Amino acid sequence: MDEQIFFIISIGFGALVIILFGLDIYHLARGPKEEKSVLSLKFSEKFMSELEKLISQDIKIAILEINQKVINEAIEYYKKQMAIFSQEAENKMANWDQINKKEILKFSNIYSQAEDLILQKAKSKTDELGKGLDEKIDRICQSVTKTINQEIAQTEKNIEDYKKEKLKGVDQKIYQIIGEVAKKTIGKAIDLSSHEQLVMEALEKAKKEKIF
Amino acid sequence: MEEIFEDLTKKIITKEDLILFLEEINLLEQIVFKNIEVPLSERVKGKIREEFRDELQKLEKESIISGSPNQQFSFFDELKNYLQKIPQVKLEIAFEPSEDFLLRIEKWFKEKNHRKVILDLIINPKIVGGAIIEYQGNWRDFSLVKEIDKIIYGGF
Repeated sequence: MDEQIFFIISIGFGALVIILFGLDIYHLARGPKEEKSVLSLKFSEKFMSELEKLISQDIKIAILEINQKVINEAIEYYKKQMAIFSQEAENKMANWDQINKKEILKFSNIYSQAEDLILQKAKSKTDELGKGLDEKIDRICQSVTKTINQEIAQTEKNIEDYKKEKLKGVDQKIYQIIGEVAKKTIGKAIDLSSHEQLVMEALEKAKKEKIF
Repeated sequence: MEEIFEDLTKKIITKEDLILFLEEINLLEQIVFKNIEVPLSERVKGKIREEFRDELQKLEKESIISGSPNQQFSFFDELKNYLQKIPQVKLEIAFEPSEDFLLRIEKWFKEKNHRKVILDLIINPKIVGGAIIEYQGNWRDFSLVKEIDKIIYGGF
């Protein structure tokens, strides 16, 4: 961008030089007519043309040189400025790095301390809770064990009772079957006269017991 | 009169006999007031047991029930009262008794108890043998099933 500005300024400067030179030539060209009586010196047209060409070339060369010089200076200036800026930036960056490192170190220290403190507190709390928790677990375990033992004892008793009841039921069933069999067998085995005899004996017993 | 009633009821041994006899008496009580010109024993021909009708005929001949219908009705009413006063013995036994055995029991009661009884029989083979006796609110179990149960369930 700076190069373009220098280039435009150079072009403008060159054009101004040309215009001024042209005006000078024009005054010189009109002068002899007015001062014909004063000066007798007169340049030939060829000389003027050659002179213009020569001047034009010199001006062009001068413009180019000026341009080149201006550009080179601008570049040098730009490079110099860039070097300064770069140096400053580097310095600042280094400075920032240091500041950052310091801050990070500081933060790291604080963080580390905080971490230690939190861990210490957490450990303390955990120990405290752990102790309480152990006691609670112990109590619960004891309670559960007691309950389970009671339940087992009760269940064993229930099983035993159930077993006894069942066995009693089985015994009763067996006796019932034996009884039924005996009754049927005896009932069938008794003849009519025996039946009659048993009834008469029953009446005698009733008489003895003073039922009649 | 009691002797006549005793004679009339001498073959009533069981409760079934008694019920049948009472039904016949109820019938007679209804008939005594109808066709009075015809002897009662003739009017009830085919409506009561022939054996009982013979007894009635005999009583008519002996002029015991030859009076007026009212007298006849009174006679039967007294007979009913007599029957209802005969004590009943509930006897549960394991077998179907024969007629002879029932007479034997009746005889036993007359000899040992000096009075007529009506036997309310219940046949129940489950008692195996013996008898369960109930008489005027007293109850005794002299059955074999009781003895068997005593032996078998003695441990319980």
